[in-house]
Amino acid sequence: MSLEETEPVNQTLDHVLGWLEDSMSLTPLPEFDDSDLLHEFDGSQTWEWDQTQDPEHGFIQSYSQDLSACGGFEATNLELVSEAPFMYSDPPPQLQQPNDQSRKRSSNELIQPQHVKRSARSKKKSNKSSEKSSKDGNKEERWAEQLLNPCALAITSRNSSRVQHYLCVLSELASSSGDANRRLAAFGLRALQHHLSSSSSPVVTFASAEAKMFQKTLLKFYEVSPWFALPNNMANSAILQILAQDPIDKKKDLHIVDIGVSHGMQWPTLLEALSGRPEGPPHRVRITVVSEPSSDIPFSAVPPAYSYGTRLIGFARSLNINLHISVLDKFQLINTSPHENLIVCVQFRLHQLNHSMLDERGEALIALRSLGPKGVVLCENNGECTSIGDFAAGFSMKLEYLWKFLDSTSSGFKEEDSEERKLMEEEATKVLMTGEYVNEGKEKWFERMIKAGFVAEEFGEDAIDGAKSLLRKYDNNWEIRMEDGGTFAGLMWKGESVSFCSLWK
Amino acid sequence: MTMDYPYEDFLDLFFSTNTNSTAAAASTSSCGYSLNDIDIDWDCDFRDVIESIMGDEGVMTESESSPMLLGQEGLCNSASTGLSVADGVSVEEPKIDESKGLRLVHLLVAAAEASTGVNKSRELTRVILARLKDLVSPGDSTNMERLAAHFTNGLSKLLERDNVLRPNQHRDDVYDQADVISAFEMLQNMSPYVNFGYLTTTQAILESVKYERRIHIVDYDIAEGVQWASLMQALLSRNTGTSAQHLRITALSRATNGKKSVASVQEAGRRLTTFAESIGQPFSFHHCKLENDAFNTSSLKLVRGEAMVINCMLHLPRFSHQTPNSVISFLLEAKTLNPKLVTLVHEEVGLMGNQGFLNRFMDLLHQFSAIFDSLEAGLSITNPARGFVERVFIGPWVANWLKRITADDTEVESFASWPQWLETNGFEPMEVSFANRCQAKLLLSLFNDGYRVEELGHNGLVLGWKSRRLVSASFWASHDSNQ
Repeated sequence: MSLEETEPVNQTLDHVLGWLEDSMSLTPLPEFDDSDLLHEFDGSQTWEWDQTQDPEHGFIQSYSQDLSACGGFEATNLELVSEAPFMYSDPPPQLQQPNDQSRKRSSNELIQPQHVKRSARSKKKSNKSSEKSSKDGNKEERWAEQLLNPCALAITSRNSSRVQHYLCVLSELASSSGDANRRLAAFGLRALQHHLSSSSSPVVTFASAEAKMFQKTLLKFYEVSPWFALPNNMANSAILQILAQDPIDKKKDLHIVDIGVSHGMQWPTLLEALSGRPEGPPHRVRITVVSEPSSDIPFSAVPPAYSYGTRLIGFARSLNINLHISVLDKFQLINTSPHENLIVCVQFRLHQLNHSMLDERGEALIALRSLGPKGVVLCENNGECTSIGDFAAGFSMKLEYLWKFLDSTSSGFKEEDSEERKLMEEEATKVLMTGEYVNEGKEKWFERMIKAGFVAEEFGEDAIDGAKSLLRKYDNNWEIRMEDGGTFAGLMWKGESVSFCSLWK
Repeated sequence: MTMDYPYEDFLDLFFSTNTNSTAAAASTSSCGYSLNDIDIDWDCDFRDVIESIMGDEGVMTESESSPMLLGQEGLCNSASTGLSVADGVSVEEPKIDESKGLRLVHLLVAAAEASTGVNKSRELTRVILARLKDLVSPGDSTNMERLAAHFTNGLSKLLERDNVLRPNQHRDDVYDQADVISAFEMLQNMSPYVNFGYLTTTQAILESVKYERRIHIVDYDIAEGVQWASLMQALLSRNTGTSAQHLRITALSRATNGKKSVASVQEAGRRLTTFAESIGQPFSFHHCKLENDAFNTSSLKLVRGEAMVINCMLHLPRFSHQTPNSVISFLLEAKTLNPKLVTLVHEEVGLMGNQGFLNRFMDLLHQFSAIFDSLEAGLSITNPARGFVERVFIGPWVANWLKRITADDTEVESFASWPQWLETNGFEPMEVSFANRCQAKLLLSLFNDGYRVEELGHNGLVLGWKSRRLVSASFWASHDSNQ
């Protein structure tokens, strides 16, 4: 099968399914406890009564004394918060921070022709008027943020009574199984409580999920949302595109460095496409997976019992592909050879690196450059802002990101309350708990790539058509926008940027 | 100090104008029959909530917050409203989760904030109100729940009014005028709130026009005219001689209130004329329609030698409220008539200077929680009469206030206090007589403990419930341009 055919999705999923349903031994995790889960989900509704059930704490007294009757926190927790030095003690929060700074810097340092940038900007401008109205209309509906953001602001200004007020109202309206707003309220509330009391409640995320469940969840998510499916798809097309550019040795070994969050989901389609080439697959395909032991970043962790290597190798064997998989921790020495085509796939992982003090993100790209890859695929969240303000400003941007996720899963998952949806959303919610801000503007990433010595490469027709046809499978609020002369593919949800894919040499 | 008439009789007179439910209400309060089995002191709850909410950075500074909280202190005597019903009486105990009251207040405040100001959000308001409607209804079994239900309805109406998609769908609860009147009368029997204003005012008028042959009262808002029937009886009862004092009443009506207002003023006039005839009081009635809400003395029929009295009853729920500016322009114009007496009765709410929406909202919540609490002291919550009064009368009253404090911010906010305004605008305070004070106290004795009356300077009286001031009456005069 070749990628020219623009209807690969069904087959893709079928094949992936087949691959996953292959014989495998999965041991359920003993820690998994339904009652814990239940408790957690009900937590936001019931916590306030815990306090009043205590006969020692009369309602009025406790409220007037420590203002904590409604918040459900121990008084000491709140005091602790107001006394402890804040992590971000920056001047007043600026929620709408224009990324002038980054623009200026990028225009200074851009080696790329300026007109590429300009065309991108003018394009944006022309879209703006139509975009704005729908965006504002959208904002009005997003009531959860209208409570969560002021609450975060009250936290930064240490106004405990106001914080209590918002927490109380949020707990009345939040529900982790309601519409997107109620879910955002529930997750946001939990994050704020976590921030205030540093207490974390047991939540089932990727790292703690049961392996079989995890795998079911991934499959389901790829089926209902292009959130990762589309970047994976474009990355695969890009890999084929790079390989096709080398007419001399198409059978040369292929080495892919996978710094991503697909957990194997991306590769069956690629393997299939490789075996369907007229010249056949490369002699050998190596995939080096750079794993992420710390699971702070959403979607990067896996259940301990989960492993897809042997199954993927089995699947490759059925296609007559000689596949090798090795797993590395972070950037250990990546073993490369001059006799292979090295391609690096970086997807939704680099934003975990620190970029405030020392630009680790930029450093990582320079390190990748030193490997001398034939091509690099970079997919990242596409945010509005580049700088971290205080807690409230950062929180607000994380909410934006989470809103898009929850809003899209709301229309993707037909079931209100499937286990798969829960797991995906809980995992996405990790974003609220991380200190680093996850979304940078694509300009910032482009600037870094250029600085590291990469040159942007245009996506081919096949890649774009493939992506477009893939997108047709999903909710029609999804769209893909090509910008910057075809080097940038933006994935949009309801007119707002979610992520971008780019190809570099 | 001389007293021309027995004021106990006067009180009787006053109540005789009411419906026959008076007796029932009186017995209710006198035999102490009450089912106050809820020992939650809402007053106290609100204070706590206010304190907590007032910590808000943007709303106010520390010093501003104190006057409002003042007078709320030390009154958390929740035990006093508790009543033991241990002796075999099986009363359904509507003990609610105490935290519910607090949750409701938080939600109400959030809904109010979302429905106004720079961060106005229709969707958020809608979601919060929907939650509130899940939690409460006007038929609930506790004061707090009912109060929250009325506030919820009031805020919902504001939201509907703003709905651009359905602009002309004012689904105001339109009650039958007869229902409103009977609810009003029932309220008079449940609480001294209404009659406190009428009684002290009538007494002040009687004292000020003692030696006048002709009396002309310009009434800013005559309502049903109940006030004047008792005045007529009092005038007659003290006139032993041949020359009865002539009474003329000019009632204002406003074009802005529409035909309904005109009709009801005319109806009040008819009733009063008939009543005057029946008791033999020389009386004439005039109706003065205001164009553009502006009062002009030239539209009055003036007779030389008449003692002018200006009567402003602002304490009753006027379902289309008059703005402070309208009252101000009326008083300024009326001042040129050199009135012997200006009476002003107003709610102790809303007018508190430039303190921001949140404070005004909490003040309103305080006010009505005090009113509900005071009703509770007299009449069980399960009493259908109370439910009726709340639904027909107090509900729209709350809604109207909400409309007012969310609508013309600048106007309401700029206004600090009526007595202050009158004083600075050249009105002279007229001392409250001993008789008037006694009378007010006597009135309260008909009702439950918890009501109290206190003096407001030398020329005013305030009716309060526990620590909360509900309504005040003050008396003024103007002798600027002596004729």
